[in-house]
Amino acid sequence: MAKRESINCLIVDDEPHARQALQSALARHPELAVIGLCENGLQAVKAIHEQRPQLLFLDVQMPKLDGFDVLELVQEQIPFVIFVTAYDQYAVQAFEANAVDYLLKPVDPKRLAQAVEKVVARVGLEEPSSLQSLLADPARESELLRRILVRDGSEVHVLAVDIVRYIEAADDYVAIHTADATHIKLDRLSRLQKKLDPRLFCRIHRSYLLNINFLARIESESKDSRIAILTDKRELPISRSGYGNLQKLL
Amino acid sequence: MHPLFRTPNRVIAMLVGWTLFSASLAALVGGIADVPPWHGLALYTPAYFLWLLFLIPNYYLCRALPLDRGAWSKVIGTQTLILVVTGLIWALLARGYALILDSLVPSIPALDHFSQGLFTNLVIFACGYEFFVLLHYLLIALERGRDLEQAALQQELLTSKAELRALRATIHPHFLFNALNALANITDSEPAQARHFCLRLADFLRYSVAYADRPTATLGAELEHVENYLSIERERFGQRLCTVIEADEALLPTPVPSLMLFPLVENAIKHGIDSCIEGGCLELRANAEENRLHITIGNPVDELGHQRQGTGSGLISLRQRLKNRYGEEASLHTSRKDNSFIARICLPLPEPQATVK
Repeated sequence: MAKRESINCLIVDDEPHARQALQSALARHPELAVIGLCENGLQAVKAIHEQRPQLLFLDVQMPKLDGFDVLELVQEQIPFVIFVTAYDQYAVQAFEANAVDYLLKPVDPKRLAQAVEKVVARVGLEEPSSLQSLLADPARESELLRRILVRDGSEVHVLAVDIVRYIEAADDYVAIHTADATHIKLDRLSRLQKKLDPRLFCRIHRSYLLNINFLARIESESKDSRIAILTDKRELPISRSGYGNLQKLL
Repeated sequence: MHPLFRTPNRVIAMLVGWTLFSASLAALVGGIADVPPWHGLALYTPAYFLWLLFLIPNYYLCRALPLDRGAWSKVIGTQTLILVVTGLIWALLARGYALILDSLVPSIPALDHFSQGLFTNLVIFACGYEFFVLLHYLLIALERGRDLEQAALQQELLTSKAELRALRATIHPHFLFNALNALANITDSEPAQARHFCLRLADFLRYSVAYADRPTATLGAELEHVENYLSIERERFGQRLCTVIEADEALLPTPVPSLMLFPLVENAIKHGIDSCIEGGCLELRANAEENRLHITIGNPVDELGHQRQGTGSGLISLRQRLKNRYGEEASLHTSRKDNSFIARICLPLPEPQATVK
């Protein structure tokens, strides 16, 4: 077998000493090449987008974006992932996210060697699998979203749900409209709706989820055709079942 | 509320008991005055029953006139005056009743019986009144003792809860894992730093354990404790954590509740600085103003950052501890403005000579 090129990897951890310790431990594994260190989730998303590493060493607890948020944002460019965390409470979730391995800090060099072996065995054999199972994780879905994460290239936006005016379905994507921008996210409207506060967001149409705080009034054109007028004068169609949903909520 | 009225059962028992007492006393007084037994019963039973109207409210008078040092003359004077006034009112009411009885049942010379027995009855009324005064003061003293005991117990419970919490936070698995992890990361690269880290961790644990049964510490010791905690966290946060601690040197020996600062500083780190991607500065300032100690702890917070779940029980129990210890004299306020969070503690300073060593 021809000698393989070394596997490019990225270390993502908010603790400086943890990054350095892992980097120096990885120096003993020439089959891996550390191409970058990231201090937080924002940097990680940017680095993944720009450098396309094959492997991530990913911490879970980080400020602003945690390890799972990072994966959510880069799901279509997802490399192999090895979680590295001080706690074992995320292990199940991590394996559901198709992590190659789950290392506990402080990292034992022997365990690290095993994890590296696993990655080497899997790279070349298979394509990294998608993250759908993570996103359907019930533990994560049970909590209502306070914020929606969107990514535009390497830039991450964290939107508070109460500034979102309405969300529009568009094939496999959703368009999230706020006062000054429209963000595109790879997600399904029905799945996003499940994670949002049902007292705030109303499905007024197959393609529209409306934040009722931005509803100014409802106009009827005919018996079965109604239009929602938003506070910014924008008009959205209301379907018959959507009208029923609205009535229930109001 | 009068202790006899606190439950419906007590009210019923008292009314029944008092009726029996009135009837027995009426029979006794009637017998001594040598009137036919049922004359005495008919005249005096309702009259004695009326005593309740004057004797029960006396409880509130007793509460308003506590038996404090130097208040004896006031208590005796007021109670005597009220005794005379209520005795007269009672005599008038009883006489009215005797008049009614006289006209309704002509066979009983109620008014004559009443006039003959008036002096005896006033003496008995005075005895009853004095008995109730003594009873009420006894009840009040018992109640006060129980309240004090309850407050002391509650204070003790809260203190031990706070201590337990601090201890638990100290040996919270996450805290220990983080600390061990930080230690493992620096043992090879920075042995001197690692040694320093171990010492700080030991000091931190020692203080938490030592103050598990001491309710009071000095401000200086408290500041040292949070400084130890912060130096452990600094190892993890690196550049993301900066701290400013400013306290007037003269204030360091001031006695304060032990483990008062730690929950606030821990909150500032866990829910504040750790939620911010760039981290931030924790500012702790202590100063004296108008004989009060003011401590403020400020930190940045990111509304949309990942915040570790908290129950707020740390703040609640600290607030309760302060209240039990200082009453309305101490306060703990928290406020959030834009992206900063501030906790303010205000305590009364002890008398000046107590703070100067």
